[in-house]
Amino acid sequence: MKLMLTVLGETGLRFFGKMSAANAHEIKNALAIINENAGLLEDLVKLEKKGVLLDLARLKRIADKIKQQVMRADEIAKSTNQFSHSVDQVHGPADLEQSLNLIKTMAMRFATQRHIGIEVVPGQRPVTLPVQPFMLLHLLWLCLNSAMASTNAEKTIRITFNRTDSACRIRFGPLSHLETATVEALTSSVETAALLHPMGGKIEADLGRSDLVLSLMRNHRQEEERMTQE
Amino acid sequence: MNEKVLLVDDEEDFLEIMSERMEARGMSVTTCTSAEEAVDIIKTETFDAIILDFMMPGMDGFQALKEIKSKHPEAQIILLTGHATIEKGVEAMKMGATDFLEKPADIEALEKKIKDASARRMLIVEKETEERIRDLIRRFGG
Repeated sequence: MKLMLTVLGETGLRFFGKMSAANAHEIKNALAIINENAGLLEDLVKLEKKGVLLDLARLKRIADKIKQQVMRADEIAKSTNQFSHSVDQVHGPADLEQSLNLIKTMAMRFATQRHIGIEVVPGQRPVTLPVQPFMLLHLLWLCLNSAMASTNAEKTIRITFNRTDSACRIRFGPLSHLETATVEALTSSVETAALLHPMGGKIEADLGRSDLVLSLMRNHRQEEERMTQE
Repeated sequence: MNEKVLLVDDEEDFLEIMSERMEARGMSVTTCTSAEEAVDIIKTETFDAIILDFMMPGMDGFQALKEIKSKHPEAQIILLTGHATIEKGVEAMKMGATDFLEKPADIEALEKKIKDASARRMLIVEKETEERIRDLIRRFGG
């Protein structure tokens, strides 16, 4: 148990750092575009002083581009904030759809680098899990990262989920290069095992549908407590 | 003199506006959105400076720097990055980068770096030409 906590602490910190750095980079990219647009405005003012008339339609386009980048940076900052607060509630609950959408935004830079799209399909019914939201995000990232490595560029990974009374199932697919070995490699890592255990989870390859499937118990903690009492 | 520059970044909005501002300063700018494209372009064209984004889809800035420098040692590459660290800067310079600049960059600073890079490249090319002429004279007499 102690070893598992150490693994979760170390790998969790690495995951936190990786995501934060990627999003800081994204914000910098947006700032760079805002900076160049501001510079362009300065260039146009200098030209106007030399007698070149200002083109109002052009100014409008520049203003629109600045607004677009401000919105982009704002969305990344909001997600980063939400991500940072995901460590606050140690025992959850974690909203699955919200977590999937958050990990999608956080992973966008890595997906773009691989020319891969990510789509989260809204669920029929809300799913909450009695787990720390950060741990759930960490596990979803490991699955998504593995899914991205198992598909071609220019493809979109659809993430769907459904629930039963006791469990929920999250599918990542279709993955053109999905192999049992990929899933075995994922599940055999200490990092994944340490995350799956407290959620009563398992990861499987559904080769028929080319999906990577993550199953999680919805009331794993109560079940564990009941077994301890017995 | 009009510096000929290749600007490589995966952000199209950034490319569009940056190239416009650089062209307004008398530079001739070619743009592309990936390092792979850049490697292809420089097979047939030469540039006074290549401005390369550090983190791009596919081949990243370091890989591209290595690839370009191995085939075109005279190429002057300025790395542009969202998050510059001293370690990355040192690593880039060791790998042959001419300079290293952090985004958002000041265009006047970038312009100066491009002019310096262009002058450096000219010196290398002149030296190579001189050596080739000396070699020809040695081989065929004079």
